[in-house]
Amino acid sequence: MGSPAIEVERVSKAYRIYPTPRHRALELMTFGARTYHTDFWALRDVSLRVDAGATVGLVGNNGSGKSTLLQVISGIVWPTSGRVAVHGRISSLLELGAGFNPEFSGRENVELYGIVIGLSREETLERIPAIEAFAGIGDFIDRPVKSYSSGMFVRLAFSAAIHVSPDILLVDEALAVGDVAFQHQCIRRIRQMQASGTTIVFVSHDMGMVRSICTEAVLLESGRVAAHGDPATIANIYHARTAGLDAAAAMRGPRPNGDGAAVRFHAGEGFDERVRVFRHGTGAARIRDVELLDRQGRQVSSVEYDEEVILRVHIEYHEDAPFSILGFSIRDKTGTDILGTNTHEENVPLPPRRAGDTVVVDFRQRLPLTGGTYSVTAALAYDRSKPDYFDWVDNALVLTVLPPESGKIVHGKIGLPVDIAVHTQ
Amino acid sequence: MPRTGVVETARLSPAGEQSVPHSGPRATPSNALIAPFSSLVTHRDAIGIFVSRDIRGRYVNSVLGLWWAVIQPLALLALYTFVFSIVMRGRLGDGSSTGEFALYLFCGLLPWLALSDALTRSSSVLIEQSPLIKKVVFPSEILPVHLVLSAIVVEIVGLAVFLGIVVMWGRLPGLALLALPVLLVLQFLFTTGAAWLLATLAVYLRDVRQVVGLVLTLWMFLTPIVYPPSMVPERYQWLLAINPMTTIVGAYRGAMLENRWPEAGPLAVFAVIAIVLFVSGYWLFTRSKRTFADLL
Repeated sequence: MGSPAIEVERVSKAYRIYPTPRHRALELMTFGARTYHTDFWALRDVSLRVDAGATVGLVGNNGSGKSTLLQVISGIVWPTSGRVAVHGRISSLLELGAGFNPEFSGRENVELYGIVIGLSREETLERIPAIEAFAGIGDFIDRPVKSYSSGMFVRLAFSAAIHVSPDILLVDEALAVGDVAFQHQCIRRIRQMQASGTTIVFVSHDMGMVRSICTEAVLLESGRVAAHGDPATIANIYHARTAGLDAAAAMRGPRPNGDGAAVRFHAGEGFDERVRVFRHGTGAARIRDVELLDRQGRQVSSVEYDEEVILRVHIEYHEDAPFSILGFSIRDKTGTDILGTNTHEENVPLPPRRAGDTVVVDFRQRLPLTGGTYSVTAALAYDRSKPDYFDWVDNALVLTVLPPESGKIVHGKIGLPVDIAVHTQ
Repeated sequence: MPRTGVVETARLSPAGEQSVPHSGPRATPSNALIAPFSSLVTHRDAIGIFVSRDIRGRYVNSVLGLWWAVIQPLALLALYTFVFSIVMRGRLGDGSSTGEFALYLFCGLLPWLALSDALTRSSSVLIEQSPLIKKVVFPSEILPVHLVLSAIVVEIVGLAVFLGIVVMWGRLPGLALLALPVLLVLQFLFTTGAAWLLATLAVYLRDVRQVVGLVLTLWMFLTPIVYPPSMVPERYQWLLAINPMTTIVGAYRGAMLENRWPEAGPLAVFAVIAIVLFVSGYWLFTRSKRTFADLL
């Protein structure tokens, strides 16, 4: 264990919530003899030690206390109880361009920013060429910030923040902005900072980034540290919690119906309720559960790029059905169908079923998709001649595809194998 | 390794013991006296750039730019001359001309405008700059300071313009002008102390902004600015005596118009008030600033 850069010991933070400003005044006037506030605990008993040179990802749902923790570490917000010790110069990037004045030029704002966060005038002026080069906004550097596109604003603000050579960099979701090229530029820069020993703590919802950049990760839930460990494990736990699975499943623990075990029909716990608003159809047969399994048959919610997975659909028939066709479609965040097929197209007809029968269908499929979240739609149709569906379920499952660990960028939506031949004279 | 000096170094220890940011290891009484001064020195770069940004911000993108700093006092002088000297026929009481009265009035108005401008803006500066306070590790105590300095710079431009007019009027100022720097420094300490107090209070009670506007109007008319102190009846003279701005306004007039040095006694009293306000304002501000991010 190296020397600590950040020590957070049993930190709690309560915000006082008053019904109206008048109640705060009343409480002030009575010197606290009467209280009118209720406490909102943004952090509860959080302890965290970050070694110098580590890169820690803070993950968790909105309102879980990530931003408050960053504010407490940076010294902007004071803990209600507990202790924070920080060793080294901090640059915190909690809001891009906080304090930028739109009337002034980019250059002037950068100068001001440097001074504000504690550089001397000379140090700031020294860094301006590098900041300018990194931001890459050309002549706009000397125009008023109000004339910037939001992209230019972000580039300049981010560039200013990372060029102050901090010992500790705190970043709150700032990396999620900007175009793809700029994001990669930022990540490269962050890797350089890592290599030079900068301690980094950043908040992200992008598990791919957490996994690829961080040396460790912390999951916050309702202001508490729910888990602290290696990024891949934390990312899995986070995905699992988001998808409503239990952590054990997400850790890819063995499941009784794994490989070798008989595949049995079951109705997913809470499945009907969850998809109630996403489904339509006659109901003469019902999809009762959709599962995503890895090759070993363990339930997962996030998968590697190009990993082979099993999409398992459990169906229960309420009426006799001589023909039925099961199909699925994987959609990206925008709702565009990316992959999909059905039992008819693939010439794997489902057997005739009677009322009360069940069937479980596995689609074994590689997912060479670009990193991100996807939803799965499953549908059970009568036959090709009838437009009706027994059951059609959107959002039957949400899954995350992690970007390739090699750092390879998947261009477009799907990355299929390619052979490249280079011919020289 | 300790933090390098640029970031907030104060932290709440488990025992709840506190240290004042930027003021070294411990807040002893003598430290508390020096702290506000050393804070100004530490943050001089930041204060400088904030002041210049604020002054240019007042006039940025306007066609006449910095000339407005000259035009505004001239326009005010013309207005006050018209209203108080011509319409209301104000006199100094000793048979002097209307023009004399306008000069007299305007000379008192310049320091008042600086005070009023700085205090009005200070009572809302933390609220306006809340992104800085909530999102950036930042020495927020310089926010009120830069407003005071910015107002004083505008005042100095006004004084220079005014001096030109006085000379054109045929009055040559004398050595008493050398008192001006002292007056400006004392005025700065006084205004900054009050600005820190108001800025802090306004975070807790937004109503402070409204109260400040009201109080400043009352205060202006209770200060001998648009009338000479001699016009106030004997039984109300105490109102002028307890008003620190009476001293400062009188001292400016003495230096600019009458080649008269400020009276040592009242000026010393004002100096003590200014320093007490400055030190206690800083103390309150820095003690409270850890809660600012929660409240804004």
